[in-house]
Amino acid sequence: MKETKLLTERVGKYDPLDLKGYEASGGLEGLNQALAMEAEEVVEQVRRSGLTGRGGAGFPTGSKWESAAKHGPGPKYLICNADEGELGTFKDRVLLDGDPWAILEGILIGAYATGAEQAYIYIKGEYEDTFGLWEKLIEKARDAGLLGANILGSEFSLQLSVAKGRGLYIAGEEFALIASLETRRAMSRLKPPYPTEQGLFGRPTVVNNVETIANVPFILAKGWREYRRFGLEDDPGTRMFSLSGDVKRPGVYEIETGSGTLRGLIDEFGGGTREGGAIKAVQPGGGTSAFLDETSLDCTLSAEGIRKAGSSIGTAAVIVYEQPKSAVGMVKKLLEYYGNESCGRCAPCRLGIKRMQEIIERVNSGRADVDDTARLREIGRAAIRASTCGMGQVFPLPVLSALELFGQDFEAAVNKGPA
Amino acid sequence: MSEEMRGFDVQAYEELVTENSPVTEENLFIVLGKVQDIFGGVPREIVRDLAVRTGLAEARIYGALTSYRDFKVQAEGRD
Ligand SMILES: Cc1cc2nc3c(=O)[nH]c(=O)nc-3n(C[C@H](O)[C@H](O)[C@H](O)COP(=O)(O)O)c2cc1C
Ligand code: SF4
Repeated sequence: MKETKLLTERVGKYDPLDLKGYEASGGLEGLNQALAMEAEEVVEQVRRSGLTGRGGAGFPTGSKWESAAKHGPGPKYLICNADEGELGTFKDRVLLDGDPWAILEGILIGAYATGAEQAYIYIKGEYEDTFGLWEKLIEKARDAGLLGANILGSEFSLQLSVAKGRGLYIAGEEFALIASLETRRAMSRLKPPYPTEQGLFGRPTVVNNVETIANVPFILAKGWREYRRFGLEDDPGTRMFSLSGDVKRPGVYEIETGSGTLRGLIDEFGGGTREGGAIKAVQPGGGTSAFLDETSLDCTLSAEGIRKAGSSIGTAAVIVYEQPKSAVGMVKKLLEYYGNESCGRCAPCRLGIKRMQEIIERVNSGRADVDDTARLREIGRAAIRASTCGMGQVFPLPVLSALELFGQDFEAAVNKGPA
Repeated sequence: MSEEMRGFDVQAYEELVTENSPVTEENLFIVLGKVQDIFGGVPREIVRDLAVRTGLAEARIYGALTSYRDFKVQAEGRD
C-alpha cells in the first residue's frame, strides 16, 4: 500500500501564513480557473468530479452546490465545518494548520460557484492555535485582495469570518452549527428543508467539511477528468484516514479510495497493534461507526467496501482495539464520550443514551440482569428509528454491533456478578 | 457606554465593538466569543449592550449562551 498525496502534498512544505509559498507550489490555480468560468460551470466541474462529502454523510458535493446555486437573489452563505468532533478524527486539523490556503481557496471557489457573499469557518474550540492562525490568515488574505470586494479584480466579493466552537459535540451537525452561528442553542432539526434551501438566517447555505473543501482547488485547477483518475469510479479521489487506538504509529494517512484494505492500513501504516497482539475490533468510521471484528479487516478502503463489511466509512477515523479488551469496556468508553452530547430534542436520543449508559455501567460492574442486553438492543433500535438527526441514528450502532459480535463479553460480565 | 459597564475593561470592549462594527446577528456569536476569550466570561452589561445593538432580546442571548459549555455568563437578573 502507498499514500497518494492529493490533499496533503503541501502540508508542512510552506510557512502557513505565507501566501507566496502557497502560490509557488501551484496554489490559487484553481481559483483563477474558476473565476474565468461562469459559476454554473464551476458547479458542473465539481458535480462531474464525483466528489462526496468527507464530514460523515457522504453527500455528493456537486448536488449540494447546485441546490444552493439555483436560488435567486438575496444573501447566501457557505460554512466550512471545522468542528471535527467525531471520536478518533483529527484529519481536518492537519489541513487547517498545514495547508490553510488550500482551504481558503476551496471556500472562495465554493462561494463563487453558489453565489455566497459571506462565508464562515467554524473551528473546534480545542483547536486554539488553529483558530489564531486563521484569524491572521484572514487578515493576510484581505491584504492580498483574496477576501473583500472584487476579489483578484473580478466581480466576485466575499467576506470570511472565523468562529470558534464552544464545547458542544452536536454543534458539528449542520443544523446545530447553523443555530450556533445564529446565536441560538445548538440543536438539530428535521430535514427537509435542507440547509441549501433554508439554512443560516433562513437563507440558502452550503455546509461542507474541511477535507471536502480541500479537494476543490485540485478539481478546478486540473479539471474533473484528471481528478477522476484517482480512486474508484463511483467514489473518486482519496480519503484521509485518521488512524488511532491500539496501533504503533497513529496518524493521518491519505489513501486513494479502493487502493488498499483496512488490514493493510493498520499493519503497514500503523505498524500493527501496539502490543503486537491480535486485533479485537476496529471502528472504521469514527466513534459512532459499527464495530468490525478481525474477520472483516480485508475489506477495501472505500465507502462501499466498508459498507459491505458491515460498517460505514463515516469520517474515515479508524480506531483499533487490541485483544484482550472487553467489548463492555469499549462500549462504556464510547457512551461516556457521547453520553452528554444529545441536543435534547428527541426523547429516544436524549433518554436513550442515558439509559444505555446506566445499563452498561451495570453490566460492567456485574450488577446487570439477564434482560439488560435485550434492553440495550431495544433502546438502541428505538433511537435509530425515531431520532431526528445523525446523532441519535448512529450512536447506538457500536453498541448493537458489539452485542452481535461480542455477545460473549456481555454474558461473561453479567454472569460474573459484582466484584 | 454607561456607568454600569464597570468591573471589566470598557476600553477593550469598545475596541472590540469598533473592530467588529456593525454588530449584527451575522457576527454576534463571534463577538460574544471574543468577549468570552478576552474577559473570561460574558458580563451582564455586555449582553445588555449587544442586545441593544443587534435588536435581539437579552433573554434570547442568555438562553443561547447558557447552553454552551464554554461560555460563562452571570445568571440573568442576579447581582
Ligand atoms: C452529531 C453530528 C456531528 C457532526 N459533526 C461534524 C463535524 O464535526 N464536522 C463535519 O464536517 N461534519 C460533521 N457532521 C456532519 C454534518 O452534519 C454535515 O453533514 C457535514 O458538515 C457536511 O459536509 P460534507 O458534505 O462536506 O461532508 C456531524 C453530523 C452529526 C450528526
Ligand atoms: S437525534 Fe439527538 S442530537 Fe439529534 S436532534 Fe434528536 S436529540 Fe438532538
